[in-house]
Amino acid sequence: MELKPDEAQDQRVQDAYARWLDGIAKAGFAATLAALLAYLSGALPPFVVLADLPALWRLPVAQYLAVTGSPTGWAWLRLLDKGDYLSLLAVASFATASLLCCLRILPVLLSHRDRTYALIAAAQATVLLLAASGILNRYL
Amino acid sequence: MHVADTAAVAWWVWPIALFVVTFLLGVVAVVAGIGGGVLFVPIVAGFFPFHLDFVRGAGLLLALSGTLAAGPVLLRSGMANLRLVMPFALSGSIASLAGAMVGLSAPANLVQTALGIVVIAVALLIWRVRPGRNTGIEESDPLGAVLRLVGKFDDPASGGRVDWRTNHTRTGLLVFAVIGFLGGVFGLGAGFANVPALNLLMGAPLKVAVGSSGLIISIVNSSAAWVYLNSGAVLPVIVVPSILGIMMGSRIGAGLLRTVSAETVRRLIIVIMLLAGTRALLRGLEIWN
Repeated sequence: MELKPDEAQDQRVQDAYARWLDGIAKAGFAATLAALLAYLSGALPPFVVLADLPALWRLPVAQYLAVTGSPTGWAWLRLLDKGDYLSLLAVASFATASLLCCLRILPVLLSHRDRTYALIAAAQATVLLLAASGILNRYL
Repeated sequence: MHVADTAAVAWWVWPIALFVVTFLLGVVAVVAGIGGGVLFVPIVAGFFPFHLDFVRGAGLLLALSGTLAAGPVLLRSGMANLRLVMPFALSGSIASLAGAMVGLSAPANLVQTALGIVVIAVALLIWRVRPGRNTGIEESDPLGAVLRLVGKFDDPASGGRVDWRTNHTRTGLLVFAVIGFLGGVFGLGAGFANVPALNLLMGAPLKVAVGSSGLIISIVNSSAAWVYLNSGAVLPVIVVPSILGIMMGSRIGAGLLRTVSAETVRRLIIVIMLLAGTRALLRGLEIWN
């Protein structure tokens, strides 16, 4: 199919987004599977003992955190030697994918002088960064 | 089994049960043409011992991870259109952020009761609303023209190129904000609402609506998922088996698409959602714990 200049530019943006999404998703799934095996097999000891979980996972999150001493925000990055938090890192990579893809297409949109969509991509990245920063969680 | 008795069951029973249930959800969700994310929260919140906070966190990540795998293929084929996705994903993700904060601040019983009502309403929506195939919008609205919400894709089913454009952009932005907010509060994937909004309200062809909806979910759910992650409301032992189960189930479901009656599965899903919604409602009202 022959594309008009606008369509060719749109396709380049889509391709750039698709390439990064593909790479992040594949890496995320592989990491999730590997981390799960390390966690459930006991190769990496968990922060919360697996056998204790049935008494804990029915508690509201605030109570769960108080009983287990589990961290909030980004403090869990200090616990990556624990199987449960290494698995959390792998799962968090899925929530990072859209942010990275928006940042990836930003320079492509600017090079096409597509200011409206560059603004939308920048605003989207800002919203996702705000969410990931944990700043809003202080108001909960 | 009463929820209080479930602590006596060995821990490993639950991740295995989750894997089996999400595998089945993956199969039926694909055949029925809806996302598994909308089924996960009401079913797991209703019939598993996990607190609703952890189920919603898992639901958001489950729905978004399910869309990540298909996203690149949909983008390259033109079935997902980034110009169509980005404005509505932005509107939805801002509202979703607010929804997640409301959901985590509100009393669990209130959220559970509201979840029951929403799930029953969604079941009725799936029953009553049938997306159309051919929309034939000939002129964009002014905002749609500024955003250049037009596109084309090669449709193997019709054997030709389909040119499309959309309208009702402002209403669409508002609708996606409402959908995003509900998704954030309840941890739901919102394919059930995104597709009719894009197809019936805005006039996008059904295939573009389905493809773009998946990408919108991946962005909108990310913002709410971070609120749950930062609050400690994501337990890997719940999330990971669920993600793996629904992914494998979706693959099997895609293979069954040609042999199983989608209408039969659709009816089955409506019944399951009505049961799960009623269960959530009764649990929220403390009538059946």
